[in-house]
Amino acid sequence: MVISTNMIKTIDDIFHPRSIAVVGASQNTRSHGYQYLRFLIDSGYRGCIYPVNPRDMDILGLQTYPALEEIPGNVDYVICCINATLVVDLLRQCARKKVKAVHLFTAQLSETGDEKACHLEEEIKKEAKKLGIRLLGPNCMGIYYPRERIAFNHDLCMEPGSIGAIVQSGGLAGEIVRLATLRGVRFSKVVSYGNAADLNETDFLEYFMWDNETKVILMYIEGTRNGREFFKALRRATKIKPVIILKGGRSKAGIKSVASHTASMAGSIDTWQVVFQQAKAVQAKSLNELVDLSVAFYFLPPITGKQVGIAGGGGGKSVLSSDEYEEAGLEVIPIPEEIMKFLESKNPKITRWLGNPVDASILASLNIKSVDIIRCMAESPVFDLLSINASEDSLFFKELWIEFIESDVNGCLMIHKERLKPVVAVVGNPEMDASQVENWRWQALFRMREQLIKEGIPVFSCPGRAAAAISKLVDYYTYQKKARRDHKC
Amino acid sequence: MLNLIREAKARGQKILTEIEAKEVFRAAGIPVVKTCLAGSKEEAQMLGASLGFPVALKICSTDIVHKTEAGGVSLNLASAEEVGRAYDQMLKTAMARYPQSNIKGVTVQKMITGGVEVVAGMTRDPQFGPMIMFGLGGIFVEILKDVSFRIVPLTEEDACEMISEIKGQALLDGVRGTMPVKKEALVDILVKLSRFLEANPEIKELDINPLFADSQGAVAADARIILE
Repeated sequence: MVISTNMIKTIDDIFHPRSIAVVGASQNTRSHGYQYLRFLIDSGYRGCIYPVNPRDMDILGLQTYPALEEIPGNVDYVICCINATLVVDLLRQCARKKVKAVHLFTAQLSETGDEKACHLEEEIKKEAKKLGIRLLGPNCMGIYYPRERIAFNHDLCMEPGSIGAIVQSGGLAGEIVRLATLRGVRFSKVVSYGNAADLNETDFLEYFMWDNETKVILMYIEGTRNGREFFKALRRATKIKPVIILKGGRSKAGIKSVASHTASMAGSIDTWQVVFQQAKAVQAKSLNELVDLSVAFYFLPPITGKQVGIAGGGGGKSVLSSDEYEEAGLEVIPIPEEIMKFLESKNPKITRWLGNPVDASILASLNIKSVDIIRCMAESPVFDLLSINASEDSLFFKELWIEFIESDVNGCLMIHKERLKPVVAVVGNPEMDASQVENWRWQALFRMREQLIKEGIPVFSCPGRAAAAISKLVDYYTYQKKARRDHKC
Repeated sequence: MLNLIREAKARGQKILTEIEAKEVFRAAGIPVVKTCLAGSKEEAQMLGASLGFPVALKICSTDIVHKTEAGGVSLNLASAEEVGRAYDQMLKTAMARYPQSNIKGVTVQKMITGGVEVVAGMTRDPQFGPMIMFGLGGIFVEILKDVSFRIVPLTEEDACEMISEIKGQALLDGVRGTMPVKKEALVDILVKLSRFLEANPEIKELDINPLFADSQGAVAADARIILE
């Protein structure tokens, strides 16, 4: 095992610059240099920001320097937004200025597949190596680090959390952060690393697995330059913390002319699937699933049991929820006898109808609140997790409709606050347009959704998505628990 | 690196013969069926008698990879006469189809009865390097592609998982009154294969097909090794 403490220090320095120069900054609001200045200023970065541009004196109220070497103070980190052909010269200036790391937002290099561009990237890489400068990129957005108030996109949340993300793409990095933030997830550090001419996915994985601020690692990856190193690092990382991966560009190797059976069989599989499975990474198949998994791993404890209790929602909704949980590999078990007896003592009729999932529409006529049943389930040791539907399928007029949904949500909050049981909420997320924003139903749902998320409860928009994420979480922690136990023997 | 592999490489030989491949596997600790080379019809008949009928005859060449397609495999030969006929036919067909090939003779081995036919093998992924395959043999690998893969190095647990991943799992656990196969023996072979591949990077592809598994253990009935 090779853990380069140098590498970890290098990356840690990139996340903690005391000063940042934006080379190619401009008054032109459409330029990327301008965007980066806005991101840094508006996110409240506390270090020195030095715009570099030979034509402007002042950009966004900041004194602008004609060249990097004209900057009076030290420069720890450079964000490079200039044309690719100018990068080699900039690197030489950086070396004279003793800059240790350069983020190349600059693109149109090897990602184009163009021979000249690939050659130029190679030249940039060699020059940086010769000068001892580390590169992030090219063709990437760089870093987002709420603790230092550094952002690679506008108006990102500045509240720090514990999810670290390694994202090969640039635009997707911002989208992942925004989508997950809406669900209550907060990030420790995020890096968008692009073409990985120098620092690559394995270096960042190594950094994040040892990073104390990061509890869960999220990855979006399209390719790797060294598959074996990546595989080995991934295998180590998942033993330390969960690694959730979305692989972009899924394809089979294609059957080539081969001599052995084994090789011809290998042509029909996607090796990345083998890698993820063997390394025990948690695999997401879509952007939605990546976000769902980050929500599950961010909020839920390490659950290792599969028995789910479901409450809330009417008959149809309950049946569907149950199907979706079972299909995802979880077990929707019958309500235990002692709960039945207790409820029977309140109303003898109830046991004739009640089951798991709890059909809320029956409760209305029985004068038992769903929150009471939810409490019973939460206190029962047989359930590993509860899933509460705050569903829009109920049949009542406005005030009663809201009351029923609130009762489910309160049940959810109660379980969570009293730490009775891990709980997730499924809150209907209609595909609505702006004209519906004022509608009382959606208003009520949004309000409740916000309340649940604020309290740290994972919220999903449908049972199937909740079930899929929970199932993968249970599989991961069950495996780790078993592995640790076996290790002790 | 094993001497045998080094010598083959030095000769520029890319495909090890079945005899050589089995020798390599034996050295790696993987059980193989006793297999002898016969340089003539009479020798093949004598070997058949001493190994015990029924036997299997296979063409032995450094450049015929797909023996079956070359008419180079004849199974269940129950007597010296059958061995003789199969020998003549095999050499005739192989020489007609591969006139340039370097034929060393035929291999003779005792037929294995009972057990489940499985396959193990290795290929190189351009990104992730050596990968080991496991699957059910015969029709299952050909048509249903019921196989699993893992990247080298394999832990024992990886090997267990790749065996349990097979859809036709039930066949290994014993059906219609047959005894379950000894999975520990398969795990052992897969892990040994992985260690062997780590130590021998000049191996490009390999197949153990078929590998016969029963309640006592597992043994390689055929072996193919292709060098870089």
